[in-house]
Amino acid sequence: MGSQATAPQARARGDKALRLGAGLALLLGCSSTPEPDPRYRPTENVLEVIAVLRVHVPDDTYRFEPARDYTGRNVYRSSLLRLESLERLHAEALRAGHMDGVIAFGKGRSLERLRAFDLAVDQYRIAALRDPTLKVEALRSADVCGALHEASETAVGLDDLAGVTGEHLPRDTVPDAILAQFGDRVRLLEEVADASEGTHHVAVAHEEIERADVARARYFSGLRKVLPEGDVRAIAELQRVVTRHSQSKNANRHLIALANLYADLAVEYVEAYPPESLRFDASRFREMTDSASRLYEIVANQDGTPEKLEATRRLEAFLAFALRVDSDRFTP
Amino acid sequence: MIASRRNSSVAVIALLVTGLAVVTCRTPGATPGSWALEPDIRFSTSIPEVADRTAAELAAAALESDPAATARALRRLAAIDTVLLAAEEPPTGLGSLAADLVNAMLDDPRRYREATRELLEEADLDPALRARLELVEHDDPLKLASKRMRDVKVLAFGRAFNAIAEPVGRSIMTQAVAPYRLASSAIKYAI
Repeated sequence: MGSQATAPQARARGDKALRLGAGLALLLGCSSTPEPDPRYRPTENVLEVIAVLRVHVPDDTYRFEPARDYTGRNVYRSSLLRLESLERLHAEALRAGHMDGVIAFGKGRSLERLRAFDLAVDQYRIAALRDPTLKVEALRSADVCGALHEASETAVGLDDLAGVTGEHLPRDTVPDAILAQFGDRVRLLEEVADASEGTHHVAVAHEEIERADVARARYFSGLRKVLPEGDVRAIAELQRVVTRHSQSKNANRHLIALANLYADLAVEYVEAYPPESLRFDASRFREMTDSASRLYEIVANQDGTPEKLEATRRLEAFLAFALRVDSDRFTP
Repeated sequence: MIASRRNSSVAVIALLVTGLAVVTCRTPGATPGSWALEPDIRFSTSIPEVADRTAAELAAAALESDPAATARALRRLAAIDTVLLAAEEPPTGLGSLAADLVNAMLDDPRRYREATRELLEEADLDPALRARLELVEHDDPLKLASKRMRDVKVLAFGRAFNAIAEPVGRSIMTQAVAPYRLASSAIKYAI
């Protein structure tokens, strides 16, 4: 009797628990998703984009890395993307053209920092047409970007050297002719830098000068096996880059490039003249290894730089190679 | 007889003309050729308001780094908001964005952070703007350096504390080896 009385009660309790669990699951399943971080909401106003961009217009991107915005992306690229998105999404509201000058000018400021000088010229000219307030500065900036674009097309660039087929490389390898082209390019860029004194375009011009010098050094490094005294020339070019651009944000990269060249020369020397052979000159080998090691150590001792790790590992690898050479050649 | 023959020929001619007209006029006429000079017509469905034009002037003045023009545009936006509020209409919502844009013209990072701090004291900031400005306020190199130094001190204290707490905790049951564990931990900490 007792068990017959408790069985329906137990069933009822079980049903109640099941209904409660189902209700709870329904509540949890239908709860709204939490609000996303307001930082990552889509930009809704041109003023916001222009404010973020304006803060970073005077930045010296020659000595320091380009700033990152609140999403961690390059601020110039993200400003350009946001302006283009606003133009697309709010095309009807902007169709009257009251913001055309401002948007075009903002895009010009972004594009010149992204090395798209020809596109920046177009945007600045649009800004000059659409907004009389911005006309003077827009035309000045268009002239500067036009000169930068012209200079970047003058000689062999890093993009040409990185090409797979080499179709854009000059066919003649006469050093004087190539040097003259690089000299013209740097001269044009230095004129732009002098004319832009007091504006942010000085930093942009210095970056282009650095790229021209690196392209020149890379060109002669690539041809060191072909040109007479090619190795000495390549070392001299890389040393020139290190000396001229010691204030650049890429100074450590230039030091690593020079150290890599010394390391390559040391490896080639050991392959050409094995240590056990009579022609192996220990002092010459020592000179190359000391130069490479010293340069790697300079970079590896700089805390807080991203190149520190690379230099440390390269130094370890190079020392492992150098220790293979007969050690008693270096003892008195 | 001659009159009836004339009437029938007129009728035939009329019928022929009508049939011809019906046949030739079925297809639509050719469209006229395009103009040699087409005007660039842009029709906007919405006319920009005074606030929109003032915002455009403010942005242009900020990009031009013209403090007088930006101050003028800022005052005009504030006046527009005052008029809208007096008419019990919603404000433009551009006040704080405009203030941030004017602050962005300060090339000195310290002054920009101080101005941002003052702007953050406003209660009615947009949450997205507030989040972004808070990031700017915290992006102070001296504050970040102090934080890193504090982190180093906390790590040093934690390492020292663990060097004592770990052997003591492990020696609760076996107190005989406690001195050995403490000495070993002290040597590891010193090294």
